Amino acid sequence: MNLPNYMTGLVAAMGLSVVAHAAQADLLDDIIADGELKCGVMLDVPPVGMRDNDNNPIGFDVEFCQDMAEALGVEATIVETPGPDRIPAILSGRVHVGIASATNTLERAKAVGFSIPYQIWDVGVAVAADNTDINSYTDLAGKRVGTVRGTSGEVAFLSEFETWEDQGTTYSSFGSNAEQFLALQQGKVDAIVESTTIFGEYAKGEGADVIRVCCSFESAPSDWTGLMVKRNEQGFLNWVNLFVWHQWKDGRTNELYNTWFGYDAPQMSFPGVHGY
Amino acid sequence: MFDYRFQWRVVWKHWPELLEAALLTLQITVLSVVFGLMIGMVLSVWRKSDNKILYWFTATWVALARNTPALLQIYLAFFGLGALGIHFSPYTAVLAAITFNNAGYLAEILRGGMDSISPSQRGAALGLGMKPLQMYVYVIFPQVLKAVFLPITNQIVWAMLGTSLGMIIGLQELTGMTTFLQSQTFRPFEFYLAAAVIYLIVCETILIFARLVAWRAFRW
Amino acid sequence: MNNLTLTFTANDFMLMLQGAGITFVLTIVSGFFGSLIGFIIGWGRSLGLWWLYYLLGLFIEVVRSVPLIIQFVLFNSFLAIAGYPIDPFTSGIITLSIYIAAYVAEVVKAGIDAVPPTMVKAARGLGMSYFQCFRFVVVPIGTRSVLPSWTGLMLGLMKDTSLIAVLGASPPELLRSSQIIITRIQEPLAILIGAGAFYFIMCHFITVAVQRYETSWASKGKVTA
Repeated sequence: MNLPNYMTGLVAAMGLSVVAHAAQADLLDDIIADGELKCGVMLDVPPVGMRDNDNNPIGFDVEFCQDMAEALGVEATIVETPGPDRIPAILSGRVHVGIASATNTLERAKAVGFSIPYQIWDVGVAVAADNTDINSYTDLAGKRVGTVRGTSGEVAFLSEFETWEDQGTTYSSFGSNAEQFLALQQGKVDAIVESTTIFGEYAKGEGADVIRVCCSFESAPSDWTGLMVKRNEQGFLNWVNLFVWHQWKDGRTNELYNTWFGYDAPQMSFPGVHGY
Repeated sequence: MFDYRFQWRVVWKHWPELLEAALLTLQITVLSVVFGLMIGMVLSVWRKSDNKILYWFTATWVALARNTPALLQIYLAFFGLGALGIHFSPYTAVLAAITFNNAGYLAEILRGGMDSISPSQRGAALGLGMKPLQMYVYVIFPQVLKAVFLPITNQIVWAMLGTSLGMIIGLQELTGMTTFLQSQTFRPFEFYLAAAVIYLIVCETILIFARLVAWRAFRW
Repeated sequence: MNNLTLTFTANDFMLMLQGAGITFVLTIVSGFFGSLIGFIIGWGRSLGLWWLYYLLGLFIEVVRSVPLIIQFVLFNSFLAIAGYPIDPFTSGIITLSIYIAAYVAEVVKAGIDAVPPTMVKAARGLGMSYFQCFRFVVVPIGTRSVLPSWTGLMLGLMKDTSLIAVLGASPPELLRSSQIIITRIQEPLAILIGAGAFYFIMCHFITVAVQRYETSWASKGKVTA
């Protein structure tokens, strides 16, 4: 073997790889090369993102991130991203993927790229345990209602609110579920509108004798949520979509549903529509 | 590599909501300052009183208002009193908490101003046959307010900024509305920037108005 | 299913204690840099250059009129979209420093104004240079007159560090660690009163300490301005 030639080849190859790296910075390649997947997760939304007794992150979204890192063959890093920081974190690359049960609205998709749906939530109504006069979401007319700011439950409620406002309905938009539940407990609101999954988690713990899950918010469409990546990272998004599909196909999604929500995962294809 | 493209169209679309929320911010600020100033005057007089109960009541109020975060005060006004069965709406709770906070700070500011007024003026006013209330209203406070006008305007700005914490307990004021809109559109930068500009305008408006009132009252 | 403890544990107390420590660090670090920047700005405004006076005045006005929450988010997002992401904790400290600098600048200017012009003239007349006069006459006298206001600002800063929570900065400071516990055990009131007690103790002791210090200072010889 001719040593100088071998060296030249090696140097040339190294040089090329640097050029190639600079020429097309591909997020998927970067993640694999760096050996770290950074997921932006919201940790104040039990049971998808919360903390355990030692205040370490746990939840549906946290495990989803760990699965994704395992599939990529890299380490998972959970980065807590509160509401206002979700998008800047993704745009800046501080996180690679947002796993934050975000509803995939067309308005939001103008700002970030959404994957195919990975969770479906339903919006429901909960009332105090001893409440008897609210038995359907239409009974909310004339009542005091609490929502959490920016959630799909709030959006669903607001779409009806205009017609109910004349009947004396009032609403408060709280900072998080903790305030929302406390307001219901103290009787500051008659009912709260939120995803039924969140009610389920609360009713299992502190809220056992406090709330009654009344009914579905029937006029609200189901809440289809997706993972979020930077809008122009199409290559990475392709992989993420396939990952979500495999999670479902392998039964892992169903397993996570049972672990965290306590019931089977619903069908995640919209009936009668091609694509998702 | 500044590759972000600002999208302002969506902010214009939601302009009415932002303005409505800004009016709420303005309203709570003005009311909390007016009430806070009235209570603050009473507290600052009581602080000088020989009555031990009045003195300690005032001292406690001032210490609590100044040494705990405003967010906590808002929380307690809403949920704390709620646990005792006293129910305020988010609007009333925020107004009450910010007023409580204002009164504590203003009492301290006014007390500092009163120290700068010569005690012989009290003697003179009382000697002229004024009742203590008349003395404070016609002699002491006009001078005190003039002396501490600058710290008071600072407090007005603080009060306005404090209202933004009301979003935690369900008030849709400017910061709350901005947070809602950015979560619907995923355009935080545009919306928070717009909110910052609106706050600046609201703040300047309040300050100009305060200076006008002061100018009328003190004949500068 | 996950077995979460729904009560306050020793772990939680440690988390809050650590949070109080972080609050303290945040206050000290941003208080130091903020005072430094504020000092330069306040000094710049006292130079008598009208354009510098109004330029810095504009900066102060803007920083003071926008809620800190919004400043945190804006500065953090701005770094993000400009392609210089730094971790939220650091961006939070920078924002806090700039924020408190605007207030410190006003206090510094008030301190400089509090020194009678005749005194400055006398010092210069004795042959002191501008900087000698500033260092040995203006700063000592000005500092005494504005120390209480400066202390007030630092106490305000300590309470305002809580708003860094909006960025999810890690490690969590006092209010954020309280919120973390609240999310798990759904008991906001008790936890927040506990957090309030922490704040009260920290603030109250600083207040009392400074008052003592001032009293001892005053007895050593009063400076009349």
